[in-house]
Amino acid sequence: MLNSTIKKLWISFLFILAILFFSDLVIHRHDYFGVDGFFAFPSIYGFLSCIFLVFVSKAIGIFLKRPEDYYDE
Amino acid sequence: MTSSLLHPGIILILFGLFIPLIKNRLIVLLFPIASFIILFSLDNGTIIKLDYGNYELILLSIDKLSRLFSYIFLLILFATAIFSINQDNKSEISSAFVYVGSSISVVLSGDLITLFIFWEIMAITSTIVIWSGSKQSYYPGIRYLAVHLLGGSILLIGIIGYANTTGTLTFGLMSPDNIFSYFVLAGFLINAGAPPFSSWIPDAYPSASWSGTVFLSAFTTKTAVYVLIVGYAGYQFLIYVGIFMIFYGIIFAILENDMRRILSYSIVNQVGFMIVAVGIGTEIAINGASSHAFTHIIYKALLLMSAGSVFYITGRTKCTDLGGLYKTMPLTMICGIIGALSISAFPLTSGFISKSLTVQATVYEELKILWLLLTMASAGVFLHAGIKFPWFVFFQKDAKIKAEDPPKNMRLAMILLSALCILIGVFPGALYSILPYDVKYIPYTLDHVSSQLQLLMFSGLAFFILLKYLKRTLTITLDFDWFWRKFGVLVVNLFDTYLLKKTQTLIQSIDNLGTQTIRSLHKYNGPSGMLGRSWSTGSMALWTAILLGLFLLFYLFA
Repeated sequence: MLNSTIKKLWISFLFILAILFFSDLVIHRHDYFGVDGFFAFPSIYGFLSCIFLVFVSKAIGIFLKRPEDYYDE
Repeated sequence: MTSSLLHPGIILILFGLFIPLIKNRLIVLLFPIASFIILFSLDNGTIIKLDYGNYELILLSIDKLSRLFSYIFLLILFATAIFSINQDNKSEISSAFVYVGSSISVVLSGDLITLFIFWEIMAITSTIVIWSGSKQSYYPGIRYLAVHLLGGSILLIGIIGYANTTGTLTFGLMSPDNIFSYFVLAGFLINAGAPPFSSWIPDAYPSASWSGTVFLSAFTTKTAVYVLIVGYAGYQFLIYVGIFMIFYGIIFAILENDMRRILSYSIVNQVGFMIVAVGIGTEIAINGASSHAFTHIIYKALLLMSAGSVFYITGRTKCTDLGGLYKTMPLTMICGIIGALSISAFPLTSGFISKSLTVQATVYEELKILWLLLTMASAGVFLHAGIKFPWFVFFQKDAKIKAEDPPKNMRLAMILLSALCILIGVFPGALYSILPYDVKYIPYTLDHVSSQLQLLMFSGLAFFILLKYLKRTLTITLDFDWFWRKFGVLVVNLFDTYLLKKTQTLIQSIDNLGTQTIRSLHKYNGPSGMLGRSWSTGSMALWTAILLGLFLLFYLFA
């Protein structure tokens, strides 16, 4: 893909993210447990969850990753 | 009564056996339709019963839940039969039909013996589907069969013990006080891909053919979900099993390179959600588990069809070898993305209206930690399947592969399932009306949609920020099966060399002892031995004369 197209896609993506992040100003979200009533909770929690999961899997990968021919029969 | 002798599952098994004789593959498409018509015309209730000694076998018993599972099984069989019209390996198609027929028979069975018989037919026929893949499918198939036969044996122990101690074979909610309930549960969980036997899914399924994997994805694990709903709803221990499966699936999929293995790990992840719901066990949770099974079967088949098309056209399955196919396989890409959005539960797709029921169940039960874990997992699903699969296969880099969209029948099957993913998502009422319990839940509220979009889009941001950490490598990840694929072999080898040496010295010493004995016997009693050789007549007569002479002397002087 052209670099300019990629740039445009990033700009529109960030624009959507901003709208969603600040949508909490207008939309009243039900909070069921308290913590989820925090401003833009789903955005923050989703982002941090993914970072957490990627690093956990990286850490596990250090111990459990093997070359593809490990089990050659 | 004659019409009631028609069994939607058994008739499919019989049809399946005739498939090798059928030349025109379009005829095969009529079989699921015929089975559907039979099932549709039958009312709920117990329909076929057999007396078996002191017990009663219930071959056909229909309720809302079994009807739901049978419908989705038939629907996906129909779609996959279209997808696989150009699959020339008839043994695969034939055994797939018998496999699906027996899955439906398990779902429609009312007692544990009938269930067990069809359970085992499923294990055997699905192994044949795996073996139809390629020469490399042999060992994964053997491992798959071994795990399922082990599961089957544990299940059989449970069934016999349960029948003996309770005096009933009827399959319903299993008594938590009976020890044999837990044997049955273990047998069921092995088929669901629960730990420590999760690895059979990513090991065996991706070694089947481009169409075989689609057949396999839908039935074994979801039949297990069905029997868990019937027998074990509300067993809280299942919540922990499910949570383990959810995070196991995500983490291993993140580390995986092969696209079909990524999608197989994601089966474990999705079944984990369903098992959590079974463990919660409330009406909304059971609705969640069954609707999630229904929609999951569709979008997972769609994802595997998309991956199967890429494999069929390019012959490649590794993320490191793929990329940039959006230009040459646009339809496959669009259908793959619809499947990916559905599995991630984007609003307006089928995943959104089904998985939300399970998440809502945790809210009603005030299970805060569980809610946080499931929400984290929803973000993780988008990360490992929702973006990872389409990104690495269709975008990423230009791998300069010559490709085109697959043949017409394969395209048609993908379009059909894509349309269903969206229709179910846009009009949830139709699916909600066939769930086991009444649904009062409304998925499309402004705050729910905005929460879900925030969660998913920011997961997307995390994916692209962490992209360099997600780059695929030519590696596999060790799993519990290491214990029988490597450790077991090591133990056997150890015994082999150590014991063999010991036995050899033992045999050698026995051998030596024997040789010694025989040698000494030979020395004295052999043909030339002192005691064994033949003597000449002259010396015999001489010795006799001497002996007689001595005897005479002895007699005279004594």
